[in-house]
Amino acid sequence: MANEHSQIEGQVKRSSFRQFEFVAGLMLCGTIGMLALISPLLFPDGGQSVNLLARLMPPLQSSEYPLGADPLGRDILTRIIVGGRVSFTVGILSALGAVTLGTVIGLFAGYYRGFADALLMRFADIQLALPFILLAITIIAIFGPGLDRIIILMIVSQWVQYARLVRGSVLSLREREFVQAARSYGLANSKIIFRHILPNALGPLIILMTLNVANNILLESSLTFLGLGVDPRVASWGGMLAEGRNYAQSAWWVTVFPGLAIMMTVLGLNMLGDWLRDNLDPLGRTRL
Amino acid sequence: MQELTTPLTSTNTVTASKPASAILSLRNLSVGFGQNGKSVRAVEDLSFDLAMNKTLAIVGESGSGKSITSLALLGLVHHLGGSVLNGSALFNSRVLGREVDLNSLSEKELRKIRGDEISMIFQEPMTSLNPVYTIGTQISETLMLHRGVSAAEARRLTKDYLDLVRLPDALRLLDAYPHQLSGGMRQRAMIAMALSCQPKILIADEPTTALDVTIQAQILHIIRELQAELGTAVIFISHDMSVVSEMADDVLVMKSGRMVEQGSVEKVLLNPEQEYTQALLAAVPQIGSMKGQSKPKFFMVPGLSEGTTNPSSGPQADHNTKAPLLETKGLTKRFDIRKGLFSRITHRVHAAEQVSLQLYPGETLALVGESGSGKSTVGKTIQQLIEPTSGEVHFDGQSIFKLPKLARQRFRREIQYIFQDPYGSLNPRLTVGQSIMEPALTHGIATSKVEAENMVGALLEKVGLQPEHAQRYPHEFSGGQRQRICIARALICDPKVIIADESVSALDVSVQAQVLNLMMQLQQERALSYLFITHDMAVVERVAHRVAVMYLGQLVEIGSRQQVFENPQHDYTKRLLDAVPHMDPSRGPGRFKPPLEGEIPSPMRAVGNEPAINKLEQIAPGHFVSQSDFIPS
Repeated sequence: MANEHSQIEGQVKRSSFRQFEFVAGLMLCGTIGMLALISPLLFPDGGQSVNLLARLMPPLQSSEYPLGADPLGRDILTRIIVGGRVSFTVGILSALGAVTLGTVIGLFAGYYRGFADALLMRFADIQLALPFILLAITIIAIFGPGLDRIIILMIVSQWVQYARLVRGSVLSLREREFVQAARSYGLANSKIIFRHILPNALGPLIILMTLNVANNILLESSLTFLGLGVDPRVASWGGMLAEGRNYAQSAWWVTVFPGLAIMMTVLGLNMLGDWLRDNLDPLGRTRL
Repeated sequence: MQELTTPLTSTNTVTASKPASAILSLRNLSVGFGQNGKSVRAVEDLSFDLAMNKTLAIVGESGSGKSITSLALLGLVHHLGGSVLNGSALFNSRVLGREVDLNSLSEKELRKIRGDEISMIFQEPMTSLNPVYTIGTQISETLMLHRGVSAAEARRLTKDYLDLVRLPDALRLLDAYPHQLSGGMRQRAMIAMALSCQPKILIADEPTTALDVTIQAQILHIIRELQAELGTAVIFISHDMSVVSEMADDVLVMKSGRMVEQGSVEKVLLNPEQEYTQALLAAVPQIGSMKGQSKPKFFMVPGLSEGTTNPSSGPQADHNTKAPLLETKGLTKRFDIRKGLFSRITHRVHAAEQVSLQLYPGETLALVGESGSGKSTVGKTIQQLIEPTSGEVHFDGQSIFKLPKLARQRFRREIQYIFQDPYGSLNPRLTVGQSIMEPALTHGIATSKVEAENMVGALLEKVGLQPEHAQRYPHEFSGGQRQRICIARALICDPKVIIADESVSALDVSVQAQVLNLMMQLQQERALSYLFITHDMAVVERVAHRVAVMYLGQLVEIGSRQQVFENPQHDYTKRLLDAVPHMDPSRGPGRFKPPLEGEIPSPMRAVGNEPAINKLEQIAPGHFVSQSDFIPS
């Protein structure tokens, strides 16, 4: 019965939707990322030129300001493209950093158990108990604001999620028979961990990571809003959202367009994440 | 019973008619899966009649559609993504007060019938009870739902039913949670729940497959007795011909969703007409069939690998001439159970106590016992998956655990382990080729990728697969093929000993026979020694040279296969052999004898409460028996 069920699952796998997902995700993220990358060449002023005459100009009124202008008369389209640099860097680097640190710690804690596991997990609990804002204020107060410090702050506060997740998977995977089999023919522990356990624990990790990228883009804006983030003059999506907040009723375009940029990026990353997860899995299962 | 002995052909008219004596009449049932039910046909054109107070056994191998049929009767296939495409199931419903077609009833009407007039027992007693409710609550729920009785009345009735399934101390069990019960007790509670509304039909889907043989015998006995008392008709779904032979009045054999043969149990099991049934029966190892033979014997199955010229002579072992290849001396393993604030050790599981056995070159030593007997612990300790608490393991005269860690690596090459679950023991993310070559690369047997690939290709052919299969992933293979792949992986290091831990238990009988044949053939060619860990006495009788019986972590009897099977000395060995179902329907309705009662005791003991160590005494050359008394709890 279980056999029949998995056969059917196999037959429905790798639908054309997956292919569409990959192409769409790649196009979304690729376009946004490329634009952000070459933005210094396109806009040498960094989207900082102020024109008070164009203050809060609505979209489609002038060819110079296709998506309108912000309260200081800066072009919103330019600032979205330029702002992608900060947001992309913060979102992706922090998620990558946290996933790497958390995964390594989770893998070793879960595989070796014992004292190291207990110590690391209590440390993780302490980390979870610390409010993020408190941690942010402390670190920024000591080291001063800056993009690199924001990224480190996010890594420090988020590795725990990954470590917990990975450790949970490892605890069940290490009892699986293929891991026992690898131990029985004498494979080194490090190889068992990276060859047999890690690939089987990747699925949920990728999902959590794509979700956290979006989260971190928004987090950067909260930090900037509190004055703990990047220089407020430097364009970033989160920063733009924060600035436009006061004008949300009278000038929707100030917030809606950067918001859309974040949404598109997150959508694209999620699609790529789903595609990646399914392609790493030889069964090609479509899981919810 | 007339209508059951004349098999219904598929050309029957679709217009349903129900013979008067039949309680349920199934006609031309077809069930499909996938989009619009077109991708896979799980059941195709199946018809049968079920008579009052009789047991109809549906037998078949995995994927034959036997479980789907039973789920279709309860209107449950759509939960699995399937749909009933065709057919009727006529049933005289007491609740609805008329004759109904189960396949065309509304969900609301079906809910009235399910659990009341037709109820079901599932395979896994561990998972079919909800762990957060007490036994009493779960059984009362059914009664309150279908009978509309008050909570107090339901509780009283529940106690009666728990008494009925011979659960001791029923009053206390009402407030017990499922985890506090053993597997056998849970299955009894499931039966009590299924019977609580006095159903007309009881569907039992592999109800004893997950249980130990002695417990299986008890459960089968209870089902039979209750059937006689309550007059319930039973649909008994099983893959095990011996169990079917003990349970059924009528048998329906299925293959790939279609009926192969149908008839009375004597007719189908003793004079099968269809080739498939004959092949299926030939593959069933029958206990007692090896009387008077000292050597293991190949199974006669179609599709036997070509290399075997003489299928009836099994592998040979020449002991007495050589020193043992592998020897355990006083092997003991205790697992600590920690409890309380300071994680103090309060109890210990005495998984293995003073186990001393020898494995000679080229022989198969079967290590048998029920769950908790410690047989796997012994195997895993020899493989160095577990460190022993005390005792020694000698291989080729060297004491493994006295060597430094690095020097022990050699024994992970000389001894290979094959696990039970062919689905679980291959990494789903690696190709079969990558999995097979890994041990060779680990031990430096293959120095280059090309060399390793060549070895893999040759081995795949050896185990009856094709070299091209190396590129595929495990999920593309069937259970039997996967177990062949695991055997190939075990062979790549050219080991001297293979520990097979329940390696064929999860396979269908015909596949099991083929895999066992392969193992015996490899033994002949390579002078392999097998430590064959299993609970299946019938398989042991077929493949083993010598047998060691374990009970509660200790050896109770060890000897040649003939000595243990034809002249069992220890009470536990006798009990184990008695509990094995016999495939002999000719013994008639009086063929059942009541099994011994009692649970298998737990090997967990409080600290300081050490078990008495059994002394083994030699009663014949090579036949050792423990002199301790066997006390079933």
